[in-house]
Amino acid sequence: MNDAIEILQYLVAAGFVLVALAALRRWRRQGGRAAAVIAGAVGLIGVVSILGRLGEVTDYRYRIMFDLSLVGFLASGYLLLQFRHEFLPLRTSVRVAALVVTAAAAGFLISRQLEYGPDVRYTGIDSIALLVVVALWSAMVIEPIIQFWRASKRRPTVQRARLRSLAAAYAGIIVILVVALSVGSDSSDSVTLGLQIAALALIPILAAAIAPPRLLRRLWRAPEEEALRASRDLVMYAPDRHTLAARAMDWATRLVGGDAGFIATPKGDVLSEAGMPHDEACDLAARLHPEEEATSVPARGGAGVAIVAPVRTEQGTGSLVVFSGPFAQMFGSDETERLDEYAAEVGIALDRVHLTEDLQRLDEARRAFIANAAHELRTPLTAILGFSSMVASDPLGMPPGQLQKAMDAVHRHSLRMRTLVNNLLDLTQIEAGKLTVNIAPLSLTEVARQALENTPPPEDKAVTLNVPDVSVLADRLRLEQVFANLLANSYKYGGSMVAVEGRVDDGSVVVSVTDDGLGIAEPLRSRLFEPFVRGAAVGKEGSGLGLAIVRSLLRAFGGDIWYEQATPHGARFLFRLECAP
Amino acid sequence: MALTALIVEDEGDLRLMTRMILESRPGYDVLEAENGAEALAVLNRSDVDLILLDIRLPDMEGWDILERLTEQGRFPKLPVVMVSAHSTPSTAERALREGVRAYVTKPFTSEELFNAIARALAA
Repeated sequence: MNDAIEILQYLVAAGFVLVALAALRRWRRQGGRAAAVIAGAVGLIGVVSILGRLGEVTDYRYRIMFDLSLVGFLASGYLLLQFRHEFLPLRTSVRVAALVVTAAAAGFLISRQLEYGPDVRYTGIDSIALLVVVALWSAMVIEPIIQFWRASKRRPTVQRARLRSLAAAYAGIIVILVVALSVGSDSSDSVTLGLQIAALALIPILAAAIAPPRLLRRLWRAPEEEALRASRDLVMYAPDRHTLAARAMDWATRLVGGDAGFIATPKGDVLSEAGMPHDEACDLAARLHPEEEATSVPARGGAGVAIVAPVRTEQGTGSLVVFSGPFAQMFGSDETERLDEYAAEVGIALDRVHLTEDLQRLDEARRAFIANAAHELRTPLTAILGFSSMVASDPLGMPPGQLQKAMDAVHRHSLRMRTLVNNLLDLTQIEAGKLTVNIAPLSLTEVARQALENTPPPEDKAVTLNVPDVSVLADRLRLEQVFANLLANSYKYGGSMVAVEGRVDDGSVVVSVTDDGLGIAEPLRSRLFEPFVRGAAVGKEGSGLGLAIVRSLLRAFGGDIWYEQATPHGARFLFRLECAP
Repeated sequence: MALTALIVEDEGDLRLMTRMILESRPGYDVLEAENGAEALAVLNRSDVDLILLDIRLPDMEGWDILERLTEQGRFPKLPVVMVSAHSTPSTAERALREGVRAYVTKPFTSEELFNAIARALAA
């Protein structure tokens, strides 16, 4: 019987030390002072039971062991209070008072030089002092237990289970202590055996709170898994990014028992926020950057943590941030990991939605293009059909002058329609990448001169040509078309002077076509090169395709075009071409 | 007795075309307006017997002119042919609701225009 008790005592001591080591390992891996504090609290209980065993083995020769046990026991209680303080801050005065009372009690007992030996019966003031010590310890432990139990409500399942395990294990220790004290040293072997077995049973509960094994966590989590699966579909098949983010946010906060959070794009734009104002979310999005995996950082002035998980998308890494109560860092490592997986899924879902949105945009652009093209074709067709039907209905009865006028109009509008159709075909071919361009080294001055000859200015306008004599890479006829379109625009909308200039710039040449008209109104500038975009002041003659074609052609050459307002007034189009090596 | 017709159309060549179609038959005096404001001015100053009214104008919609005429008590007595650039069910519905008895859709032939005019005058 005694052997069994002895073995159990060793096992209990070793159990507490092992749990303490597990907490220490956690602390070394993940940091967080709380883990170190709880390692101390649990470890000291283990140390105290080892000291008890050692005292017996050494026949109570070393008094220091008794004093150390006392100090260790009280310190373990004080550390649990400190542990509670890591999550739910206590006032400094309370902590100092607890420390002073604990130290005083320890000092008093040590100074009493209590009898140290087997089966000692303490009497009088000593027994009262010992009772006070146990009461003090219990007080320092019971208060946190109640706090942890209360905090466990409204937590996600794993956190809840861990907090409750911790509370239950400590409550068990108190019960064992009280029973042991009340039966005193007279207790029968069977009671001692029962107490040791009970103490041993507490070890796994304590371990479950501080370092729960994976299997246990999965078991705890099972009720939430079903809901997670349902949410996954909701997120994956969201119609747009904002709906997706709102749904994902909802689940993410539940997952880690958070009460606020947001999802931000790689650029830091907040897609959705919960439990906090949009502005605050934007502010935080600019400051909290995701790392390789989800990390917890102190937030809200230390009263909680922000768990920042990376949301990887094709556009870069955004962030999923959830603000949680103080317990998440110590007890929510599981949820943090889950949040990581969840954020990865959100990233994939965002990519999918992005693709869908792109397709929708393209489809809308295509519809708009067709509608615009049909609209542009309608006016010349109306003129052609109207005039020709009139002539056809009475070809001989019309006065010759009228007939001439009608046929002129039909001719003019037929030409306009031909240009329009050609431009439409050009544009669609270029955009589809089907236009064959013969890119070869060309003399820029020669092409510019030729274009000017083909598109001469009207009598009341003049063009100055001053481009460097360099060799550029382009398609000859298409580059002439670029010049022709830009010159025609300048003649139409500019004043009396047009300047074509150029400068070589690091392996390429930038050509500018500048007029002295009014230039282009600010709101139009950003959409200038899109098809069918025209200013209100612009006549009805153009199709609105010229600049779109010019840009597509230049891009096919590997160049580009942009717009600047000329000073003091006028429009300036600049385009870049690669120089031939 | 000649009929005074007002063509409200912003595209110059289409105004010319409509005028020539009308003048190819006897009995039309033609007035022109290239936007809504001009149309209202002409309507205030001259006796007009028929309006060919484009829906899309630079400064307002053809419907706005109809509304003004209704306020003045001239419509729906005055025959109107609405000229629309794009015929959708909603345009047809609106025309019906506004009491327009005739409309043509661009592009149209001279015959279609005269048929529409006949419908507007008959009502």
